[in-house]
Amino acid sequence: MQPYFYSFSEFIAMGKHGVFVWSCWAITVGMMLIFVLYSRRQRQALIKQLAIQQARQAQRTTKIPTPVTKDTH
Amino acid sequence: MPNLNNVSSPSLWQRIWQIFLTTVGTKEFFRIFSPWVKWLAILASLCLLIGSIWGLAFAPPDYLQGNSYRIIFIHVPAASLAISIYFSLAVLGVIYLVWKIKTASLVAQALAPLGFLLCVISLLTGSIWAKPTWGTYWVWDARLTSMLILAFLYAGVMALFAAFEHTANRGKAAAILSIVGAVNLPIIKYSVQWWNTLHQGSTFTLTAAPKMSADMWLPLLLMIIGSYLLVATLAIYRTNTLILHRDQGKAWVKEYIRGQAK
Repeated sequence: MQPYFYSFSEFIAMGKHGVFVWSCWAITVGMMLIFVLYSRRQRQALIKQLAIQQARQAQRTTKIPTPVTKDTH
Repeated sequence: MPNLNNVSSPSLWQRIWQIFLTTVGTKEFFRIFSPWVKWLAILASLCLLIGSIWGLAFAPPDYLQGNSYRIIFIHVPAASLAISIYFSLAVLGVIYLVWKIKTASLVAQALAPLGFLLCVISLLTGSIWAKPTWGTYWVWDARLTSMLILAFLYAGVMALFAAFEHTANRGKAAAILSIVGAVNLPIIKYSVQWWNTLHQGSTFTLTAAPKMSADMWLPLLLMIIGSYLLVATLAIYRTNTLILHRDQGKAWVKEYIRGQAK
């Protein structure tokens, strides 16, 4: 298969239509990338938040007997 | 035929239905589809990458529109998915309202922002394409206007999902708007036939032979397949985030979080 364009500058210019074609690609790739990263960030933030919550709960349940030992000291 | 006299023992169909209902629960959805995300993402990226390079550099230009037609490789997949996702929101809405399957509502909630984004992308790329082709960025044409209404419907569905965060009714209002808004879909589809519009008819359908040459429609087909795979990937991933949030009090989520923290 042969590329349609002879040179790289021709490929960028696309015969006066380069601005339109490339701006479409930039907008789409940019927006989709932001959306994917946003979805990933959401997931990671939730996992972090739930992990902190669980650690706190685990601490609370293990700390319950400690007041008893403190009283005896 | 189910035995109607014997009420106490469930019929075969009822038993199958019960088994089906347990497989569409949030926990099962998470367990079954989580491993798919990676592979679907790889496949989607491959299709989109090959399709883009092929469409941008190797496909011949259109004899009338020159190189500006290359926008078709984003515009058509984005528009087709914006419509398909809205259709799936309506179907998921019916499933949620009739059978009370919570997973359906969560999938719809995960998909709505993606559908909105693709609708906006199709409007933006369409108007950029319109400038060199029609000489204007925007006309109040039937196809363009009905597509703009679709974007507003998406915004409405998203707002309704966000509005009922802490009630048991979450998703019900959004499901109703999704179903009612689906009236717009046939209007979008047939707008180019019912009204005299600037927008061209479809060059690409599942039933008929393509009206363009193979080195134009093959990259387009790749881009469409890649976009559907990307949407599937994001739908699973985002639904699973919502499932983790919703079921955070349950033992299996706690175990999963412990596994992630290590």
